[in-house]
Amino acid sequence: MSQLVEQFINGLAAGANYAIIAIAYNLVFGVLNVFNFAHGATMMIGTYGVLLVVQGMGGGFTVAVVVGLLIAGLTGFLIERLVVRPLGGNQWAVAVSTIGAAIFIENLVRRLTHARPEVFPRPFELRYLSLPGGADVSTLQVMLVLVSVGLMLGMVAFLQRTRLGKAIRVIAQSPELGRCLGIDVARVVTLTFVVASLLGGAAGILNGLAYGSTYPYIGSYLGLKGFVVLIVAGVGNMRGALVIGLALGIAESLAVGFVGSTYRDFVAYGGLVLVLLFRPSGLFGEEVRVV
Amino acid sequence: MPAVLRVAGLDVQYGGLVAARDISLEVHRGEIVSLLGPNGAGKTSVLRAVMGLVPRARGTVEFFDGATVHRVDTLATHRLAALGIASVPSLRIVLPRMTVEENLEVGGLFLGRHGGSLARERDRLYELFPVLGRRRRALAATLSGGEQRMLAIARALMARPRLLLLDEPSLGLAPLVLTEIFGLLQRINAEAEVDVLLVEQNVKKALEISHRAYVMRIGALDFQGSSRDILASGRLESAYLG
Repeated sequence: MSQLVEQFINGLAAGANYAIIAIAYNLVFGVLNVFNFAHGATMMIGTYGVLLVVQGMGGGFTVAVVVGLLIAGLTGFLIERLVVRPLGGNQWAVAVSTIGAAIFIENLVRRLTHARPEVFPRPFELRYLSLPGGADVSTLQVMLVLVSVGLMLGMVAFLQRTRLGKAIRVIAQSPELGRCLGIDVARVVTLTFVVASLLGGAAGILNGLAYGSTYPYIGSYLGLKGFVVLIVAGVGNMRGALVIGLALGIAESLAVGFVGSTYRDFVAYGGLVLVLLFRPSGLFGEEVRVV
Repeated sequence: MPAVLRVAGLDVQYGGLVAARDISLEVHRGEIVSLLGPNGAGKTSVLRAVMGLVPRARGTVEFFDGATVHRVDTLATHRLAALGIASVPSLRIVLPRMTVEENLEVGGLFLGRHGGSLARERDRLYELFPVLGRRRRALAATLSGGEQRMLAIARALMARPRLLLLDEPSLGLAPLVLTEIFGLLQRINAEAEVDVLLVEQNVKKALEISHRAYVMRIGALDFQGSSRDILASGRLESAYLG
């Protein structure tokens, strides 16, 4: 019972993280109808931003997070300007060019570092809290759950309430109407890449904290997981991404806890195969969309 | 006083294909003006070129906001709304996954207006379009065709425009609903002092509410005049029947 609770909490944090990654894909897909396959690289580079400040410059963790997010946001900006915009919204060309950008960024980081997994710094000493029922959770786990779920909900609020969020939703429904309503669509597209990359950077850092390490290919791994969530939930479906992200994180975590750690990816990709077989347009099809 | 909208010598071209050539037209203060013509005459192309949604190959478009004349043919579409030109395309006219209330809000949100003034404007429009007020929390996708058309027009009015550009407002509407919406357009024109340029297939209804009309034929202006004269002259039949 106590192990169930512990694994559930781990899964909640991981799942919220998957949801955040899928939401970021959805944001970009919504405004431009393209997938940014370099999104994973953005997550990875955020974690190396943190390492740069903490290990390279002896800086504090908070400063490191800010720098990591800024580097991730800047990467998103550069990807949009250099790799996406010149291709004029051609879906296939952008798919190829963003994959290329991801390979470039990964190998750049690999060359500049040891190309080995690095220990990811912790913001504070771990303390353990005993829950009723005998489960032990660390303060870090509690923080991860709170921050991940908070980010996820914050993103929904951002889309529902802010002017930029509403502009993103308008463009996702009709770029032409957006222009008629006074939205500078090109500018909002750039900002969408930046927002998605900030989210990605945050997701990468949260993942680094959860596993205590990072490496150049972590972005590809996480990006693919987020992509699975996106496909299973149905592209464009924000609520679906939240539900499927959480469900995947929890299912993986339970599989690791009760069957064995080699079954983590089996859950995600096995589930994907089943969905593609029986519901190829995603579990929720096209009907419930927030953006 | 200058014309509210003055289009002079406008050519619209898609690649090598000429959709409209040497179009000149004006909308004056207080007017509803129709741009008519058979299918494929190029009227929607002209309207979309005025909006900047398709490239203007040649010619000028000027807009007088009451104080200054703006050369809008040099501006991107999104700059037009802030000057006082609101437009409603013919298809995909509402944001289906937003509520009625949100659809109205985004009509003014990106023009630097804020919550209080937007809410007041919205309440005023609910009086003009009571059906929208009753369905304010409904997703726009669930509205009927007529309600969606009203929502699109109301959303354009949220910008407090001087000029309203409408592409086929009658599209897909039942006759009774059409009469109601065109009646509202006349009211908006008279009471809110919004001038209107509309592209229409429904010639009879369009002439009923407009002061003047331009008639196009195969990519060029054929003739123009007051609605009354056009109806009396019988020239429309020749434009439509060749």
